[in-house]
Amino acid sequence: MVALCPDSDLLYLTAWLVYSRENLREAFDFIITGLNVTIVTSIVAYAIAICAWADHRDGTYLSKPGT
Amino acid sequence: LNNIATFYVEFIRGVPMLVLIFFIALVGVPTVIEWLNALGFTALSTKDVPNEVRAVIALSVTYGAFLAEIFRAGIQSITRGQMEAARSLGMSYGQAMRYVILPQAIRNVLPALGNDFVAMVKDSSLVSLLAVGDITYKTKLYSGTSFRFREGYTILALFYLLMTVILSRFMSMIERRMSNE
Repeated sequence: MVALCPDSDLLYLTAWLVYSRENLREAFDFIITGLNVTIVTSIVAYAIAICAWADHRDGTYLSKPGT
Repeated sequence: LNNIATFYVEFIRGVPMLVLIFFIALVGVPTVIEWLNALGFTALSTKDVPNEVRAVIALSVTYGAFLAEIFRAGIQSITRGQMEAARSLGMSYGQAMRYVILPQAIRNVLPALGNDFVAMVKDSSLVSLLAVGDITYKTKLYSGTSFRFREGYTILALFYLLMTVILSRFMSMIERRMSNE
């Protein structure tokens, strides 16, 4: 991505990052308070969803031998 | 049971994720609570179920359908002869599944499971619309109150990028370890 960007854009981006570093830190400090909710929600939901492995819909593979 | 499972999988896969989250959280959960109350199992009010719990239910019900398909494909990728061989050795159906089929099937489906987990972490941003205080919701609050949208959403994107990169690396590590066994 860096190689594709014109130098002026990179310069602008760098300048913006330096200029707004305090605001970025403030945003980081505020947003990180929701990180635990995101992580817990994702892990718990996935753990529950993974229990759905028992979907033996067509039963072709799992039919008893000889039937 | 097959028909119920088929309906569940097809319904979930055919409806957009955002609609499903609203539907499950705002229609499904209250309906189930009403049924449970009517049957006398509980005496809950709809307000007793917090939005975080509704979000977890919505995400797990939605992704359960996708994971069911992944597991089905994984189990069916193991040839039928494996089951027949296990049964001919005197194993019960449960033993054959536990000791022969599933260890091979899980190894096959591991990459797909990892991809789905990464997808679900990204889709978890949708639960912010239920006012669940995740990072997307916090970003909306921050940006809305300070009018610093650029900073807020840049940080948010970096958070999600960081989480997905870490998860991808972790899944690659597990895959490598399982392929070496």
